[in-house]
Amino acid sequence: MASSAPISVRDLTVAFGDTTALDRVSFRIDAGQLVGVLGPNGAGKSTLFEVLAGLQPFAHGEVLIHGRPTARTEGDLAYVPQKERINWRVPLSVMQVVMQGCIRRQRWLRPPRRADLEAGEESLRQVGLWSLREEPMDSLSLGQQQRVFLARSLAQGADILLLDETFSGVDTRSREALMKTLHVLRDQGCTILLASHAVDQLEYNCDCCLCLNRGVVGFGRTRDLVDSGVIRDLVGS
Amino acid sequence: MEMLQSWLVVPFTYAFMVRALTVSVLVGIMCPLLGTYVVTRDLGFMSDALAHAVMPGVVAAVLAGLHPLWGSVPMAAAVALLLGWLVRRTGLSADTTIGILFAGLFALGVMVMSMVRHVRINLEDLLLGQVLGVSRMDVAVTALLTVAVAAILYGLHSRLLFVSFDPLGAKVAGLSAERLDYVFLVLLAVVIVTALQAVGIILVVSLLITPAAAALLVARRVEGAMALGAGFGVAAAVVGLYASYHLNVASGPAMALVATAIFAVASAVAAARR
Repeated sequence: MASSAPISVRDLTVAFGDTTALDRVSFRIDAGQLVGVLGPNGAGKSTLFEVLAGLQPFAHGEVLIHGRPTARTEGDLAYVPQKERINWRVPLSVMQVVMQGCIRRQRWLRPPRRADLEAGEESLRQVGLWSLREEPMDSLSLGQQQRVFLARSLAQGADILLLDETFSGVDTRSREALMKTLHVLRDQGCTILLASHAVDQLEYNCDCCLCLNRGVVGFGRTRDLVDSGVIRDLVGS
Repeated sequence: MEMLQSWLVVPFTYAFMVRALTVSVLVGIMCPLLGTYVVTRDLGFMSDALAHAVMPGVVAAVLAGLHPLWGSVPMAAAVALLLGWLVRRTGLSADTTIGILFAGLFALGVMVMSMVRHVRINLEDLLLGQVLGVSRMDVAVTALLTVAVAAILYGLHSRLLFVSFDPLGAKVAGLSAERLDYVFLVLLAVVIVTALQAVGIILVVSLLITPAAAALLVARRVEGAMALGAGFGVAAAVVGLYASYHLNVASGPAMALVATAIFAVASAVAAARR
């Protein structure tokens, strides 16, 4: 297993008390892939993302991001949590959220650097929301909010994006716009993991799928997993 | 016209009223600055509890012949840190942990007060505030703390906002959310203790939360809410002080009532906009 892969996971086991959330999970994802992480509720998708993001300690196994342990990812990974985990009471503008991506580079008691402001602008233009930069976040549609979080990840300079239930509650038109943005980012070399419990959101849009139900029940090209019935069985379960 | 001028000016021909006004204005600015984070982070109950939990520190400082701030600031900081630690380590809910510490420490403070005979502590002043009795030293300490709190908030603003808005995203982006939370709790402790002299333990949330909540109802941005909240806080403090002087009522409750009236107006404005 080459250590330079963006994401490399071997024998990952995570337990909460007596409950095993992830059991000996192994997979490797190459650069520039859009990967659907599919599984029913409670399958361990969010736990896997939290491990990859360095938020969740694990009992056993090895997790490497660009060949380094998760604790030392140095900003090359960005995590977009489920919308329920965002505190919407904080009234922020679109641009304020995007500039959060540059927070590690921000100097104490100084305004943002010109290069960071330009990175923020470019990121927001890339997701097609520059015209909404002054709008309050809570005035945007769900799909637009998710694109703002994508822009924040880009401003951060991350080349690995973890998107947890990003399409949940997003209408069809916004979903298509969001997916188009993800395909552009993928083509630019970003590695994207997209978790969902709804198979129709991932089936025709992802290069490959990781089917999870506490352990890996299938990993490969989406079409192959559909043809072999793995996805049908997983959804049925 | 002359009557109005006299109504406005006469109270401040007394030195104690000028000191009271200075402290009230400083507290009126400082509380909503931090209060904006308190409201958006839903820490109102915790702030109220923290105000009650400093009682033993106040009593200990007075018994030792020191200014109450010498006991209450370290006490509040210790309680804030203990709260954060207990919530993270025991798995108990924040509300439960806060309730236990709040009641236990307040009871300890009152019990020690009732056991000590040789030093007189006015429980009513502690509970409702006594801004008319502040000394020049109180004014200086309040000014110093206001400047310090404002400077620290300015330096940490974007980081505190990120952690408040998206704690998980902030951690992944490389911020130490736990360290920022502890710094925030210590700041909260300092602000609460400083505000105690104006409005007392029971009413401290009226300056910490009410002006900030009112501002958040009408402002579009968090920075706007902070500025507007500080304006509301100063208005509550100044109008409350005038009311206290001219109507001969307690100053702390007067300030709290003005803050509540401002909130009522802001609620009506926000409701009309929708």
